[in-house]
Amino acid sequence: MNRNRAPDRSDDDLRRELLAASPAPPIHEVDWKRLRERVMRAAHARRPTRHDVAWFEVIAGWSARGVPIAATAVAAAVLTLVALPASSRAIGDAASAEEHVTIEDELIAATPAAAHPLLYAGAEPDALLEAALLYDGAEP
Amino acid sequence: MVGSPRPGDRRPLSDSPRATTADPPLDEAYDARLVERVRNGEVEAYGELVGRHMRRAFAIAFRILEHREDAEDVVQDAFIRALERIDTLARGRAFHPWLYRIVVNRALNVRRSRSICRTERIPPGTPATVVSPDRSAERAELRRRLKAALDGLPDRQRTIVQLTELEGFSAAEAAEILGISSATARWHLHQARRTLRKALETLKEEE
Repeated sequence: MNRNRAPDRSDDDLRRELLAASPAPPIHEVDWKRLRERVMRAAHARRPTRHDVAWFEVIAGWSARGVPIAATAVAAAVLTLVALPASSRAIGDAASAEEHVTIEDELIAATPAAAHPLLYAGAEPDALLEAALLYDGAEP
Repeated sequence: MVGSPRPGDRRPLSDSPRATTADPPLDEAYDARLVERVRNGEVEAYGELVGRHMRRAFAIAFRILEHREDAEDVVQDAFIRALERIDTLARGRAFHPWLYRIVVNRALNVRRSRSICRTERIPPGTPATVVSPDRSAERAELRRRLKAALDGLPDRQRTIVQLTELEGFSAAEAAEILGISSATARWHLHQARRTLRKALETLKEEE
């Protein structure tokens, strides 16, 4: 192949015959305005306008911040919901236990072991209290 | 970008006296500014690009499909596809060869999908099926058979012939539109011309 061959007469002849043999594009039959409108309608449907981009960017900006915050909040809520019954039970148990504490229990807890026999001796409450308060560690 | 012209290359379409369209002259710098505006979200700027290139795009699609409505559909699809992918068009690269490549690819897809029955090859030496005493009828038969020979070329060769011989693009421009090297385009063009010239000579001998 001679790449630098100039177009010869047979090329022109061939071109002329090809042009005659091929139907020319019917450019005068096309409604260009309508075709352009078709293209632009489809274009508007697929590509956001500048206004839309600004709106979208605002949403995107909020999403960028909002998604982690929302995720954290949801995680915290889930943890709270899971932990709440357990802690409620613990608090309830403690409260019910506190409800049954008597003065004797308190005294037993506060009184040295040496005074315990006195507590269990069926003494009168006032005497018991006095003995507990005045006890100095000496054997009665 | 379109390479420097070589002997055998024809003038670009914008200068071609055989240009079949009435599109405005090609102005790559102006197109580049429009593309930039489209990238910034101005769909209206795309309307201007459409207006500047739809006639040539239609002519290319029609050469491949030879059907007006199909060609219009291809033009619409190609412009939408180009808009969707406009961010992938490298900066500094001309818009119109890129668009025309999309047009050619989509038109070839449509052509293949509808299985046009125009791929008969003319065996050398096959006598004309109709021998008319009327000269114009003979010419019409010759052209019909030349057209059949053109349609019988491989896709790439046929498209290069359509772009260069019929639409007035240079071989370098056709190469850019098809995404092949200029040398490859010239080789295909040479092969196609040789085949068609042989068919033409055979047909003329039969006359």
